[in-house]
Amino acid sequence: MAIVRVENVRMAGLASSVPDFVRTVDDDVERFQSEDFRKIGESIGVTSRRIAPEGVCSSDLCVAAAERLLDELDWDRDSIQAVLFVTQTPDYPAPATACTLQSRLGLSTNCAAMDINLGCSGYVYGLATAAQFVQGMAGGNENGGRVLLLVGDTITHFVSPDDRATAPLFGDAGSATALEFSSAAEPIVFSLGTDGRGLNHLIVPAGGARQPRTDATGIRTSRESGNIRSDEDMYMNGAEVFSFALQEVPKMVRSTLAEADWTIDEVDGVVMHQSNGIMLKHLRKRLKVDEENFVIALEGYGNASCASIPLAMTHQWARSGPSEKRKLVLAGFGLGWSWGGAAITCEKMVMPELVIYETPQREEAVDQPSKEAA
Amino acid sequence: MAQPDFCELLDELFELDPGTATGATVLKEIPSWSSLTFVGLIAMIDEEYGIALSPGVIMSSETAGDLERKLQEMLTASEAA
Repeated sequence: MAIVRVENVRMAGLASSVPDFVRTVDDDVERFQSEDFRKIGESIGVTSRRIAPEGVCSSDLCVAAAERLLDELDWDRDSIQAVLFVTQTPDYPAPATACTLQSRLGLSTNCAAMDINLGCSGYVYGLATAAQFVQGMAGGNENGGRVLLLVGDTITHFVSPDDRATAPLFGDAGSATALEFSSAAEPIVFSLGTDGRGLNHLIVPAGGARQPRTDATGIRTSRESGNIRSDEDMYMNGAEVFSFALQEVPKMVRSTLAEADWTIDEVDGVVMHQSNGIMLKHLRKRLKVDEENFVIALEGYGNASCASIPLAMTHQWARSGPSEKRKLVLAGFGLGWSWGGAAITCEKMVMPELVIYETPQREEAVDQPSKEAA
Repeated sequence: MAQPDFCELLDELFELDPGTATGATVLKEIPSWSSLTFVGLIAMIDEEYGIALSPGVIMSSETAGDLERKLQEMLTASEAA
């Protein structure tokens, strides 16, 4: 695995946001005309999830999280020297959404901006990239490198509501993570890997240059097991994803621990990509992590793609005042196949409560999810 | 690793009465067979046999006996390695 070690970088804060619309297992029971979805929801650990209505972008969710975070951090926006955006649901095919985020967030023009296209592994890759930006920019100056990492997806916009493999599982979320130089910070260690042979098991086939959008690619038809979707929707072979995760995730976590010279027993929290409840419970047992140190944050959110790790951290540890010192192992894995582990010591972080993004008032579209009951 | 009884494990996983599954049981005809129990089967095999199975191996096994034979072959191969 590719090992990246970063010195003198601390995570100063983290905020996450979800849209104000929800879908529940009751909606699935009605849509599929099957009570089976109650049992499915229980097994996968998701009986309700957050859904961004059409027109709400992952960047909108991330901006909401970033605004809250920057307010609480009290950072001078001019001190931010890079904004990185990890997403598979950008605002436009071109240009990079990160450029629009520089101006939306009122950041200086002396600010680097770039998008990174990754899914379930994306938070760890984004963190590895952002941390190296800080390290390279700081030059030993305590007020030197400050980087904002925005990670989010409106992945449900790729999900066919009539595909039982994906519809009950996914949710939408955004996040903002603030990184800065600190000579007191413990090293952060990353362990990263890829196996592109997994391409076809978790994919949105059409809409890129390989298979451009046509009238035909947008038509939803009946596929394997009666699932209905188009080539512009996401396809997921759950058994293949599970098998891949079993083969790579334990190895990745062990490699991350070994490179950080940590044992699993001294870790205060393991935060994995929140794929689904069955997989997470199995991986926890397999890695012999105590239940209280293993974060599960699926219920009420769903599998939030690249935003699931920061969302789980917010769910678990958000509070007012600086956070306690914690040794964390983060583990992202999924489509690509792509995987990344991180060993990071977090201390005195600003971690605001979950931000609920308020969808701007507009005419109600057809087939929108229901607004959350207040 | 102690050798578990594969058919007993299948009974448990698929919520069948004890003694229901045999070597001749056709996997896809088990009443509670679904994409979720499929994933459960991969998890069970990983837990009990220490093998992270590719789904193709299960798909190409018609009966419980076929699958168990393949698992035994894999165990023998990994012991020999």
